[in-house]
Amino acid sequence: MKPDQAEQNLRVIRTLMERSTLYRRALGPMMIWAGLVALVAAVVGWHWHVPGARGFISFWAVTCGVVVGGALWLARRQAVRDKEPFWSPATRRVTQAFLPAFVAAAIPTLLAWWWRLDITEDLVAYWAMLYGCALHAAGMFSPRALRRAGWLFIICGAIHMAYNNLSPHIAMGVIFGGLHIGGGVYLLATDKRSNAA
Amino acid sequence: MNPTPFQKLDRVIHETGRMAIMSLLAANAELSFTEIRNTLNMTDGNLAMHVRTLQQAGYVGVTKSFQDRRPRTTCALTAAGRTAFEKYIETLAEIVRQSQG
Repeated sequence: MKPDQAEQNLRVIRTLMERSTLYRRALGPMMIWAGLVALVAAVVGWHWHVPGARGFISFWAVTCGVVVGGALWLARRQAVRDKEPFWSPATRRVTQAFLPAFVAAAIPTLLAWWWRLDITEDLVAYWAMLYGCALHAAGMFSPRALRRAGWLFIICGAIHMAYNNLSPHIAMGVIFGGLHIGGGVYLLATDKRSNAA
Repeated sequence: MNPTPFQKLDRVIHETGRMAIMSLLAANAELSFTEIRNTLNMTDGNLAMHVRTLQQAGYVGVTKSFQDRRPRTTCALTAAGRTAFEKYIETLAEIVRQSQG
């Protein structure tokens, strides 16, 4: 065996190991966290009648920030506990998979906020469907259940767009709260394998 | 060049297909037969043959179970397999180091 062949073999091994690593880090707890925050936010928003398009968008943007912050903390905590790098190749791939759909959701949201467009019901459907796309894309590098959850978000978003008969806050609670909690419980119950990222 | 590291290379692992299977299993606690086949773009027969060789060497454990009423075959590295793979990587690294002087 020539030395350059040995080097190439090492490269192949490294690439295969990196590409095949599925992102599993704290997915169940993260989904349950997201679901609980969405449920609480939905009840608060509905009860306090958070007014107007800007109020609705700002309220849910803050909620999204809380969810993302908590999820990052959960992921970091597990990375520290398992003595793994937080920004692992799997984490990087999942983040990259999530980004396009998030940006696509952020654009109409910012426009609606800026021009005070009263499209909150439509926004809920867009958010759900684009979040479903993000989950589905991330599911290529994580357990298959995430792809199924992605489809459920897309279907629920489409149903909400077609019927539109729930308060936007309640719709957010039902879709984002219910599906996240359901998905989180399913992941915790079924995924017995290592949580390495 | 010192020929010793070349002689130390594990012949069971030192085959493209089996090295790829070992790499995947080293990065995951366990993988289904289908996942390995799809990732490596192998045929069922080819994969089964390599897995059998690795199993006979005691490097890979195969478990058959049912998931959603469908049969599921999963593969995982054994402790001996992990050690052998680490040794194999170390030998490759040694060859590279030697060539670089």
